[in-house]
Amino acid sequence: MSEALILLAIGFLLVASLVYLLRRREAEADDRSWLQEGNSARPSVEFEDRQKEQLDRIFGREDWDFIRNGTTRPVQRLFLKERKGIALSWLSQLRSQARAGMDFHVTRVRASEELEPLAELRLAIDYYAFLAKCGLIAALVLLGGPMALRGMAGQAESLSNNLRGMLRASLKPQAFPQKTRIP
Amino acid sequence: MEVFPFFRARILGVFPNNMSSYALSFWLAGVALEGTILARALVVGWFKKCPFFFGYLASVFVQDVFFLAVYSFKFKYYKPIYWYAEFFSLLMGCGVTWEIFRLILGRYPGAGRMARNVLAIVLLMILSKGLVGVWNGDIPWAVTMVELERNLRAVQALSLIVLALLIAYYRVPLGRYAKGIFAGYGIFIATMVMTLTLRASIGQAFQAVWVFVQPHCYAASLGIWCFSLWSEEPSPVEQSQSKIEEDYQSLALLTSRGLLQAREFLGKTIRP
Repeated sequence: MSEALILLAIGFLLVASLVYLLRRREAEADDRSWLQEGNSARPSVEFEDRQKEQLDRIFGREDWDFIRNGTTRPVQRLFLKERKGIALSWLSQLRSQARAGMDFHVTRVRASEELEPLAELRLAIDYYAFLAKCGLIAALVLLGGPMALRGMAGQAESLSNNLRGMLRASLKPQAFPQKTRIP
Repeated sequence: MEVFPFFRARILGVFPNNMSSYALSFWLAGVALEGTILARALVVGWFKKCPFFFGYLASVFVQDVFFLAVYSFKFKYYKPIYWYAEFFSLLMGCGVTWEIFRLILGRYPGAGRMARNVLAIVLLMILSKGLVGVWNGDIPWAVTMVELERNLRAVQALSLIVLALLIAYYRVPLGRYAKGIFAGYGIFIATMVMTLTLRASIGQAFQAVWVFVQPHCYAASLGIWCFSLWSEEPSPVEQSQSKIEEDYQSLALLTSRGLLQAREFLGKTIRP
């Protein structure tokens, strides 16, 4: 019986993956048009500069302390709601930028004859672990608000800078030694 | 033959040796669709590009006509030749699966290499399971021909799932023809695995559903093939990165390092 269930699951999985694939292709053709334009600037994946003050403002306690001491409860609630929205938006942007960087990586290496399956597997694990952590932080922000993550401001800046460096480097093909010709 | 499982039903002793007008018209529609696709392939010269797929379709077309004659005039020979033809189709189907891989990943050797590795692991796991079954004294593959066909189709289904995952992960663009062949054959294989599994598990109680569902699923596949192969496919879009030369190691290492650092810093945000 368990064998039958596995076989049925295989059948359903194949149908589901076909449906997903056929639907997904339509949407992605537009999303990835920038990859085919040969535009070296590629503004959609370039990290925007995030000033330290901005992050301090989003995740720091100064504004909250000021609001808490000098305003009424409805104002405090409104402040927290808006800050939560901003923090979630920041995380969402971070996720989409990481996704764009990874997309750019896979669209370039898929034709490389030197592709190493184990390295690709590790990369995929790292990428999905990163997305999972983004999801975890988003959940914490949702539950406790951005003020619950007191150490976020400084670390967020480092995270932004690191991801920005990675994406910038991966977008410059001339930065790499020329070994593999992609047909 | 797949379009006409009423024959198979007769072998299993459920249906009498005659055919309803609905079954006959369905059979004729199937043969007409197959003939249309083959004629279209001849016109646009797709036989050269996909020899296994169109060879498979041609063999099914010939079998459909041949088996109707055998079924009608020499029924006693029908059962012995049925399974030979069925497994010939199965082998041709393996060729079709390989051809779908070649058609889609042919221009992407990196993704193709990943596919070969993942498939090798999957096949190794299946083989190991079979060997463990033999070691334990079980019959690893099948007791009946239906189960044997089901298991071989399941291996094809797993291969197509691997292909679908790699297409999704590596954003491999699909042409209209490749998409149509993949979708049609994938649906055919998936429904075959499911219906054969239910037939083998439930038994005769599923027979009536089986002989109804299976030809309709095959007809759906024929419809997809006919629709997708009918119009001319525009020339494939050349990738802008076609002239980019780069070192895989550097790119992979850089992306990996960046992601790892990003993840670590992200982790620190929740551990102030």
